[in-house]
Amino acid sequence: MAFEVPVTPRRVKVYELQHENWHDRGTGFCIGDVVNEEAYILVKSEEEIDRLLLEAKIYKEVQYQKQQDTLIVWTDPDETDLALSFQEGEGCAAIWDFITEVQKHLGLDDNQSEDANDIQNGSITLPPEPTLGALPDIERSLTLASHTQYGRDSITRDVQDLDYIAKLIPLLSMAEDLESLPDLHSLCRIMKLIILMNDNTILEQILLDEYIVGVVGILEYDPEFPLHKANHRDYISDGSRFKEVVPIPDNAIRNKIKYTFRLQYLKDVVLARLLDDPTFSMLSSMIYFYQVDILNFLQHNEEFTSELFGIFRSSPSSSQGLEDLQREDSEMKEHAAQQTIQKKRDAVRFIHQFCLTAKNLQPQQRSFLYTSFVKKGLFDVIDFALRDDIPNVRIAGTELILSIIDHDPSFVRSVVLKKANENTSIIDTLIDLLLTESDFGVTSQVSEAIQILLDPTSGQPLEALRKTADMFLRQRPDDPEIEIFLDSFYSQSVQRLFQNLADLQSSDILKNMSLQVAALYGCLCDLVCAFIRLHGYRSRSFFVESNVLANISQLFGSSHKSLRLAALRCFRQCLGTNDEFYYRFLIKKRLFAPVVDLLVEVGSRNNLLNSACLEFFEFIRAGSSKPDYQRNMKTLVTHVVELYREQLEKLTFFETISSLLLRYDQLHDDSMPTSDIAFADAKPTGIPGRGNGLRDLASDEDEYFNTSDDEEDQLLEEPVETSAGNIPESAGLKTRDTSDASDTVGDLIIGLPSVPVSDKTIDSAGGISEAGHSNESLETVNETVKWLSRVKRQAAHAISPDSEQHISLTPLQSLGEKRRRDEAQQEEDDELVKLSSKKTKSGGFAPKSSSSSTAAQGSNTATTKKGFLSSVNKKISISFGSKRFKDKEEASK
Amino acid sequence: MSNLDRAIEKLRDCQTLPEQEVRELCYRAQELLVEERNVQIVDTPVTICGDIHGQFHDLITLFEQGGECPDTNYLFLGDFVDRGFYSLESFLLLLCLKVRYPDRITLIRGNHESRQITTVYGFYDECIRKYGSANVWRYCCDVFDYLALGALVGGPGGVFCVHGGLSPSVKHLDQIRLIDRKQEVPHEGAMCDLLWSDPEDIDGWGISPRGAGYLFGGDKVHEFNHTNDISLIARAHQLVMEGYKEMFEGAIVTVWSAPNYCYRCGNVAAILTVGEDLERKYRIFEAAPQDAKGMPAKKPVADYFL
Repeated sequence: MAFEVPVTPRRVKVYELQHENWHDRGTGFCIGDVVNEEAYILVKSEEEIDRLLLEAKIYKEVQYQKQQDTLIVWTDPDETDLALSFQEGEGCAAIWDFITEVQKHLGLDDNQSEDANDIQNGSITLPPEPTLGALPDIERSLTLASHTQYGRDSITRDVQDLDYIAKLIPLLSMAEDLESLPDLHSLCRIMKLIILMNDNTILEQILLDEYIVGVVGILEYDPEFPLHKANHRDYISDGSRFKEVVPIPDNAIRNKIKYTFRLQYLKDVVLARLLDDPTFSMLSSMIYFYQVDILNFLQHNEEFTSELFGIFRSSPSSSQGLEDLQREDSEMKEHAAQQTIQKKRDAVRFIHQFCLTAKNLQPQQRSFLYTSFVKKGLFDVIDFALRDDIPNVRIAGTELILSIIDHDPSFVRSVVLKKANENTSIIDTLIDLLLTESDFGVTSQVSEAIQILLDPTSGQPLEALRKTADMFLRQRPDDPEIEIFLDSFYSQSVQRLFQNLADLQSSDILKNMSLQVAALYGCLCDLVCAFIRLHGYRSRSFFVESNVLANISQLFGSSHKSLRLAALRCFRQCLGTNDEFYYRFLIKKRLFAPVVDLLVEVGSRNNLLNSACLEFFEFIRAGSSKPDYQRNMKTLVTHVVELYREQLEKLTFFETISSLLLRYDQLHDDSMPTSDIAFADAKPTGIPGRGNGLRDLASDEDEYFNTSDDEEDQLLEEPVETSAGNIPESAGLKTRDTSDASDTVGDLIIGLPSVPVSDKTIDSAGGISEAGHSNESLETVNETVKWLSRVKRQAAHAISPDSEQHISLTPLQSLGEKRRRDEAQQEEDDELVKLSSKKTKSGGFAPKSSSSSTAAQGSNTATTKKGFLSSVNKKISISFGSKRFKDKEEASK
Repeated sequence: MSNLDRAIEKLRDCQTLPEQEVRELCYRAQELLVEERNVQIVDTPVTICGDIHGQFHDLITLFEQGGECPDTNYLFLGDFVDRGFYSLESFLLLLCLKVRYPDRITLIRGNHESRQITTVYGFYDECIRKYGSANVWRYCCDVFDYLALGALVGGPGGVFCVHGGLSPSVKHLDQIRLIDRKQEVPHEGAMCDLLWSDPEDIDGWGISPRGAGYLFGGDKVHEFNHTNDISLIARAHQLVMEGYKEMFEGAIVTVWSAPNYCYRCGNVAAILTVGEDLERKYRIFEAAPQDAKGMPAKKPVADYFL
């Protein structure tokens, strides 16, 4: 034979097709060989030199195919599909040359040129010039080819090389002229098959101006809907859909915008139903990459962005110093003014779409984009949009700000803080909008924006959250700006936001409240709930002092049931705080009355209001035997039952209510069997009629109700001073000590760590407590440390032997008392230790120290987990753009 | 003809309602749903339907197969929205029927009737496409919060209907009453479990691969049925190629009512009619015959800048 036999071993992997999957036969070295005028491809195993992985004779009939640079694929006469994947292109080329030479040699007698053609096109071919008559053949070839990767590769190359799509398009109008439905359906099936070959180049090709109309035209005749013809062509050809606010300065980019639109139309409309997963992902990723290109180009094009944001410069509502322009504005004719405003609105919509699209970008790119847009005046744009007359523009404005807030609330906060010296901050604009907005969509969006902006847990990277789980301090990750931001909010804006609730007086309004007003109050209630949950002492003092919380009780009289539910949720949120301060307030203002009344009113009707009320009382009932809640909840059980027994007794057909009454009796009658109270509670004591520990609780209660309103108000206004100053008398530290006595005794006996957590000591003193866990500025922490040492001194004084003399204690009690004292001491020390980060140990229970810190850690983990969850949730909503198609893929599986 | 009837006509033709009408409809539905129990009491005979997932044309087929509302008493197990291209029309049609014939159709909440889930799986996008803003999505989500969590069909010895399944924190049906259901579906707890759990061939409780709810075994099903004096749990939530599937000696059934799920799963759908004597009758149906109306596609965007 007159050709070179490749003898250099080439490293190669051998694959065999088994059940549509390529099976790896092993790795070895490939050479050519000629024996008795017959040519072979040999692959020797790299592991066992003597073993042959492959010995394939080269036939002239077999269609060999070279794919990419390193792959040779063919089907042996015995129907085995084989593939050689070479490590290097060079090796592949050598073997390929050998094969072609051998085939040429073998084919010398035959018609050589046809063979060569076959080799090039693979086994499946398309008629080079398609005609209507050839459509069935084309369809058959494509269907056949689509079964194997090999067929797909060879056919897609054909489609490209022959510019096949361009040749198919004229057939559409021919078939349409002939009104030949079978041909039209066949064409449509062919086009679908071509698209589903899922070839990047082909997909890019059909987006081009000269192809797209023809392609979607062909796809209008879906054989699965034989009686129907879509009008994709009209839609795609309608150039007016593309709006250019500022001319796009680059042709390639303008085209990419068009292509993106076309891709989306193909994906969502034309091919929505028939897309398989690979093609769906292909289209999605093409869209993504086009979008990234477009955004990147436009964002970095100084001229473009300047002109875009410049549109807003002539606005009276934008920054100052443009009076000339303003005057000019006013001199303009009405028409021109309208045009200007229209242009601004379009620009808002453009920027809106820009930022929504940017949601798909990587977080870093998004941050960069927002930063540069804010520098250019994005907030002026938002300001304009929020004040516009057209609801849709306001919606765009709120969505715009929401998309930034969603992405990075702390960034928005820092921008707001920087702009603090300007006339109105964005938060005030949002508040104004919330209060005056007539469009419900805007209202709820704005309310959402306000909430995220003021959420200290928002905008924290997950990493930071995880770190805190290991930290002793129950602090949120450092973000000093949120503190300053909240300070400024609670010193100014909060009044305005909740003015409606603070001023709520006449019940007449409630009776005739319009839907819109009811929706606003609903939003305000939701914000109250959120702020109670998120802002600790800040919101607490405001809600209590401003009468907001007290006035919410009036909403129970509303004819809108949703509003009653919203009001109930506010009170329920207070219950969940485990913050005695709220409980005292609810008790003092008799705020359980409306809830009891509501339950009475609903009566035996089983509905949502009923469930919500029952849940409310169930929380109190169940909480009164839960370690971390029972101290406060026992007080509430006592209060509720003592004041509303008459009403409640009519409702005993509710198990919750009868259990609540029973619980009261258990708490106040020693002789009752107690099933769910810690057994120490039931221990007989020297004091008749009252359970151990409960005595003090009750006397505290009495004390509380004997306290005059003036004192109470003082307490509310100046929690720190009062509670710190009057430790023995006030409901401060002492309540905590005494009411938990039973548990402490129980713990001693069964030897388990005491559950009450150290922070409660401070908690019950009101006000300052949050300093421990909400992330205060350093200053506040120092304040706390000072205050704590003061409390410590006074606490030590309060439980000095002098004060003890008046009470005679059983041995068990004394033990408990001692333990408690040690604990109180220890816990404060713990707190101090934590705050000052010094490990000093004062006399006390060493084991307790560890257990209390474990408990603290435990609760820390709990809050962190919650935060983690919520940030994960946010993650979902932020990244849904890119996540979506992934989920869809999964869905289809 | 009342406005409501007109709206129903429109929706049957798969047309969307103006935003204002949707708002009013949602408000009226809320007022109605707020009066419902967490576990609604439903009389027999009733036809129980599983997931719909926005497959509007298949919903129409369902009504053709099962009988029109109000002639037939219906109970839908949730998951009205997401995945399909007509979540909005499907949900609004059901809601309209609910407001029009409150005693003849019961809607309970599925795990997809949630803000978080709908933002990811299509309903949110669909509303944006169809209205240009998220308002309608918000109205609908507000209604979701009011939907009942389950239903009890046929009194003692009857059928407990729920979207997902059982919860370790619910031994007695009465315990469900103590849930304030007006909230986004939480990540844990009874309410979450009822909407997310799945039955599985295990003993006791297992961790759900879905990341929410639990897997529960036959022992738990029998225990629950015994405690609460019911003969069957009817639930949806999982694709069943045959349309329905009974498990644990017929103590629980999964009913799936979205044929050819996602327009390509190739499954059939089923509805379950529980008769007056609690006899079960399953009816299988296939995807809506393809005609011009039935051509599923998303609505394209109107204008674009990018």
